[in-house]
Amino acid sequence: MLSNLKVSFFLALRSLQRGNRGSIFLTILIIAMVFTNMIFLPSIVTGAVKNAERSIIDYSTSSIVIEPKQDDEYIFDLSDLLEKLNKVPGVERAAPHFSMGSMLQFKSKRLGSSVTAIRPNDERQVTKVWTRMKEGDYLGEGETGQVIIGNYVAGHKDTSEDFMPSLGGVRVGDSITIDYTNGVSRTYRVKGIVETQSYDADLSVYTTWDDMESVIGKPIDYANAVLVKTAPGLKESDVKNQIYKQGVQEQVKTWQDLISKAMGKAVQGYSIINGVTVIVSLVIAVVVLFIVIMIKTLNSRRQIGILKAVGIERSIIINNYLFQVIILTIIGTICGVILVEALISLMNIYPLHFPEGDIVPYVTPLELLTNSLYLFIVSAIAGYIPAWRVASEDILTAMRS
Amino acid sequence: MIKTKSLTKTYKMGKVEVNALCGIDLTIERGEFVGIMGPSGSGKSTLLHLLGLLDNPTSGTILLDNIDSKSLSDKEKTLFRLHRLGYVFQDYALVPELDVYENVSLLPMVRNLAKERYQKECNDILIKFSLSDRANHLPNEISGGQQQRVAIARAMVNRPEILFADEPCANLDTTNSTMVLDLCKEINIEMDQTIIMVSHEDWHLKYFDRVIHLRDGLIEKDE
Ligand SMILES: Nc1ncnc2c1ncn2[C@@H]1O[C@H](COP(=O)(O)OP(=O)(O)OP(=O)(O)O)[C@@H](O)[C@H]1O
Ligand SMILES: [Mg+2]
Repeated sequence: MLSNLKVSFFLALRSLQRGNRGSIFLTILIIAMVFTNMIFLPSIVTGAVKNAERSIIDYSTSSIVIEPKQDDEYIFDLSDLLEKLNKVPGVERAAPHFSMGSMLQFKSKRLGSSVTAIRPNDERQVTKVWTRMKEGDYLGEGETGQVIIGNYVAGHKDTSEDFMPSLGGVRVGDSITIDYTNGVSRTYRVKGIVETQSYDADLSVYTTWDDMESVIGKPIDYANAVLVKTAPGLKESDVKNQIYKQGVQEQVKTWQDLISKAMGKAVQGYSIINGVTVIVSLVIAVVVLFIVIMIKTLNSRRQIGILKAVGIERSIIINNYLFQVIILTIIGTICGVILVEALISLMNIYPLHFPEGDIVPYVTPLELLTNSLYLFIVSAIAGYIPAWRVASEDILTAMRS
Repeated sequence: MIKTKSLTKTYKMGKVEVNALCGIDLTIERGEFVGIMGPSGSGKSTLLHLLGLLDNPTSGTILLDNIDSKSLSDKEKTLFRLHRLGYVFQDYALVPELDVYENVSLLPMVRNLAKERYQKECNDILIKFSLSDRANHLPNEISGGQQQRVAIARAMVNRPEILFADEPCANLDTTNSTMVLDLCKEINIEMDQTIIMVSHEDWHLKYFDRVIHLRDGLIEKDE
C-alpha cells in the first residue's frame, strides 16, 4: 500500500516536472486566487464586525455593564458596589455613570440631550474616550464648570454637514448653557470635544461627578450604570460569574450580552455573505481543477493504457493524479496565504477608511487552516473523478487513442 | 505454459460483428520462441492480446500455468501481468513522462523490489542494449530503434515468464530490426525466455522455433 503510494507520488512528480509548465503555473495561480478570494472579502467583513465590537467596548460599554435591578431606576448603594466590584478577581476597574436629562443651548441653538456624570480617573481606566480628544482636553478629577461634548453634539457651523441635530459648531472654550430637568441651569465652558466614531460617545455630554453633585445639591450614591473593565485575556463571562458570586444583585451584562440583540442580526447577515463567498470560491476551485485534471487525463489516455497494460494497478494511476492535484493545491494555497498576508499587512499600513472607522482585515490562523482544508477536500474530489473515469477505460481502447 | 481451447473473439461494431478469432486451440511450452504470422486482419494482434490478458475472449478458455484466465479478477490480472508477463508493442508504448532509466526501472519499483538491486540490473541492461548514454533522455528524444530497445529492456528487467511482442520491428529499419530480433533470440537462448512474437516479415522466420500461421481467425499452419 505504502509502496503503491510511493509509485503514485513518483509518477505525479514526474508528470508535473515534465508536463506543460504554463498550465501548471496557471492552475497554481487560479488556486492562489481562489484561496485569496475565500479569505479576503470575509476577512474585511469580519474586520468590520471586529471594528464595530472594539469601538463599542472602547467607547461605550467597556467589558461589562452593571445595570439597575429589574424594577429599579438606579443602582443604589453605589460606593458599596464599587468597593465590591473593584475587589472581584479579574476586574481592573469599575466606573459609574449617572445621567440626567437636559436641554443644551449654544447661542440660539437648542438641543435636547442627557448629561453623563463620570469620575474621570476611574473612567480613564475603563473606556478609551479620553484618548480620542478631537480638540481640547479630557475632564480632570474634581473639576467643575467644564464639560466635554461629543463631536456630533458640537456639530458644524454649516449644519448641512451634520449627520444629526447639533449645537451648530461649538469649539473648545465656547460657553454652553445646560438646563437640567431638575430645574437647575448652569453655564459651562467646553473643555474638549471627543470624536470616537462611535455614536454613543459622539452624542454624549460628559461632566464630572462633583459637578453633578453640585447640580443635584447632595452627594450621589447611586448610578444609572457601572462600567467594568476586565483584565486582558480573561473571558468577560467568567468575570461576570465572579461578580455574581460576590453577591451583586444588580443586572450584570457583558458586552457580548449587550450587543447580541443589536448586532446578532447583522453578524448573521455577515456570516451569510462570508459563507456564500467561501462556497462560490470552492465551486470555482472544483470546476477549474476538474477541468485541468480532465484535460490532463484525456491527454494521457495512451499513457494510462500503457501503464495498465504493463501491470500497474488502477489505484496507483488514480492516486498519481490525486497527488498532482494535492501538490498543485499545496503550492497554490501557500501562494494564496502569502498573497493574503501581503494584502493584509498592506491594509494594516493603509487601512480602508469607512465612516464607522478604519477597517483592517481580520483573519485567524484557524480560518486559514479550515479554508485550506476545504480547498484540499474539494480539490481531491475534483481530481479523483476525472482520473477515475479515464483510468477505468478499457486498456486497448486507451492505448489506441 | 500456455494452453487455449476454442478461443474466439468477436468485435461488435454497431450491428456489424467481426469474428477476429474463430476457435483457436494451441499449446505453447516454456522456452519456445513462437512467431505468429498471417495476413493483415487475420487476428494476430487479437490473439496476442488475449494470451497477454489485455483483453477478454468472447468464448473459450486460456490457461496460463494452469490458471484459468476467467477465474482472475481485473486486479488479479493486472498483478499477473506485472509479475509474470512482459510486453513489447509496435509503437514502443513507453511512458512519455518518464526518461529511459525510469521507464526501465518502473516495474521493479512498482513491485517494491530492493532499490540497490534493480538499479544495478537496470544499468546493466542499459549497457547491454547500448542505451546507457541515453538513460536520462525522454522517449521522444531518442530514435525508434532505441525506443524499442528501451521497451524490451523494460520487459526483460522484470524477468517475465512470457514475453509478448506485437510487431516490434514494424516501425524499424532493417539494421534496427536485426538488432532487436538478435536481442530477443539471445535472451530466448541464454535465459530460456518464452517469447511470442507477431510478425509479417518472412525474413524473421529464421529466428522462430515455431511459427503459427493465422488466416481469418483460424490456425492455418503450425510448424
Ligand atoms: N477494436 C476492434 N474493434 C473492431 N474490430 C476490430 C478491433 N480490433 C481488431 N478488429 C478486427 O478484428 C480483425 C483482426 O484484427 P487484428 O488486429 O487482430 O489483425 P492483425 O492480424 O493484427 O492485423 P495487422 O497485421 O494489420 O495488424 C480485423 O478484421 C480487425 O478489423
Ligand atoms: Mg496487428
